[in-house]
Amino acid sequence: MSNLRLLNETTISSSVSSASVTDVFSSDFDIYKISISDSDSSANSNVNLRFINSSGSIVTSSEYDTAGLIALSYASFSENRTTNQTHIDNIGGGGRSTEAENGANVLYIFNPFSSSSYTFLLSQASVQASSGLASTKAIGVLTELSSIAGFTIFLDSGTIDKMKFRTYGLRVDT
Amino acid sequence: MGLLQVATNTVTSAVASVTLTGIDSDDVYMVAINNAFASADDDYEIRITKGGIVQSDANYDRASKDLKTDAVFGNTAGTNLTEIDFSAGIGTSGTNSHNEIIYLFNFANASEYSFITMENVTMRDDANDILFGFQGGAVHTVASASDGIHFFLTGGNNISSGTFTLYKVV
Amino acid sequence: MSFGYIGDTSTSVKQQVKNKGILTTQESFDLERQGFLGGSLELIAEQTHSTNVTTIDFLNIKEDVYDVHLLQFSNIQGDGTSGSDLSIRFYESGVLESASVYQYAFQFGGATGTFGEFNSTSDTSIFSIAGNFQNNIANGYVYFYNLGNSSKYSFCTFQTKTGHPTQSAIMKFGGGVLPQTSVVDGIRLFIDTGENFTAFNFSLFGVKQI
Repeated sequence: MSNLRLLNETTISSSVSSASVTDVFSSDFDIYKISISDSDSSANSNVNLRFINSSGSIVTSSEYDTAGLIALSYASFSENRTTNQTHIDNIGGGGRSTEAENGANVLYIFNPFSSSSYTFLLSQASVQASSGLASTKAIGVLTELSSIAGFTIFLDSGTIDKMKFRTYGLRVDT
Repeated sequence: MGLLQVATNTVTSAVASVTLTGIDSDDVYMVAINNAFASADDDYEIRITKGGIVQSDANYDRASKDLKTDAVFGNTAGTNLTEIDFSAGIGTSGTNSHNEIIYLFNFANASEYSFITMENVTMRDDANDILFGFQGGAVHTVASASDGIHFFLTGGNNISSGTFTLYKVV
Repeated sequence: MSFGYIGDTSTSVKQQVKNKGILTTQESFDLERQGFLGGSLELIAEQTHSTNVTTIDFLNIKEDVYDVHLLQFSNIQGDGTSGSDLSIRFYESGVLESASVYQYAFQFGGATGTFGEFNSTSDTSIFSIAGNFQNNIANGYVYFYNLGNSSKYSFCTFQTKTGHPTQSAIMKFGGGVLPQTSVVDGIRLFIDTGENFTAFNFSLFGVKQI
């Protein structure tokens, strides 16, 4: 059996202001792989991420940092650097009001459930913006020592009309 | 199938290095590093192994884009190095951990070099605790079979904790 | 090894019997059918070198099953003498798209210190996901997204590490897109100079879904 275990598949099929996957991180795994695909949105917007703690509350404190390189097919590349924000900013992938333009993401999340370490993120994504391709490579962190059990995705503006999340746990056999 | 675990080492008391071996096929291999710390602030380094022997020759080349929150992204490159620096300030406990996904290519191929891609994220352990991650790759330019990967710290400090796991992608 | 059922984690489950971690054939079948057993990646196809070829096609990619694919490659070699860039084209309903409709953007960095950006909004392929690897070898991975979805563009992200004729080695990461709403049912790998592949290992996986 593979050590990469499919834990959860969540599909959003009607308009929501945010899309959440809850109770998916646990002490069973320390590293998770997430794919976000089949997206559609009501507006053209950045896609952002927040974590949900093990009590079920969305973490909205100003303790998220992000560093992302956005490679553009039509212009010079841009850098996204944010600190002490209320979310991991612009993970890429979706957030387009024209369904065809929505791409996808692959994320890795490290140590979410441990309350003694920060929760880290690696992201790669592609999406088609108005002028062309935007491909993002980003890192992020929640600098809060809390136990994280899930995550939520939201846009700077508009609603999420479609989105599919698959979460895998990367098992270590001892 | 997916990922098959080949070797793992969970460090719970300080050790000078971690070595993962068992690469014996032309498949692509992946290493996951989780929540790794040092006994004192230091940088993690990579070397490869051949026949279980750590290779410390000056045949490592690397290049990476360095994502960080405190400045314009940097570039790190070098040739004929004796090791691959793949972190920038690992801490001793708590919050400054190192986390990484590494892919290994051609390691078992005796007639080709051994290649690596690396993607990592950490909170650099300095006065400001900066989010930092190398995104790039490296190569050991010796055409002979490699069978593993070796992790240690630049300044001679110990690896105090962390989980290092080698998988075969099949 | 411990076992646990994850098919239904709702509070409606009231386990009455201690779970000894033994699965019956029917339970295994049910779990596999639901996607909880049997792996997370499906190896769809593998291609390795036996004779020199100029193109490598994956034509049965299960685009109707998977919306995320992973292509891994190693030991890619060519016989050219003037630059070798590994590039991608897609088949749309069996027809190879080779018009100037592809877009891509990638960051590159050489071991001797040359870094830069490269992009295009109108190329005939997703150009140079790896390379130039003239007289060297290319290695890396590509994620493909939405290939079988006729209402979406087909995207990819990639990260590669290759030998390089002047930089010793070069790393790349970035993405590409075929901005056309079509069913992509095939993937072509080729070296843009038209030279032969003299060695290669390509593995195409479907990233498992329920």
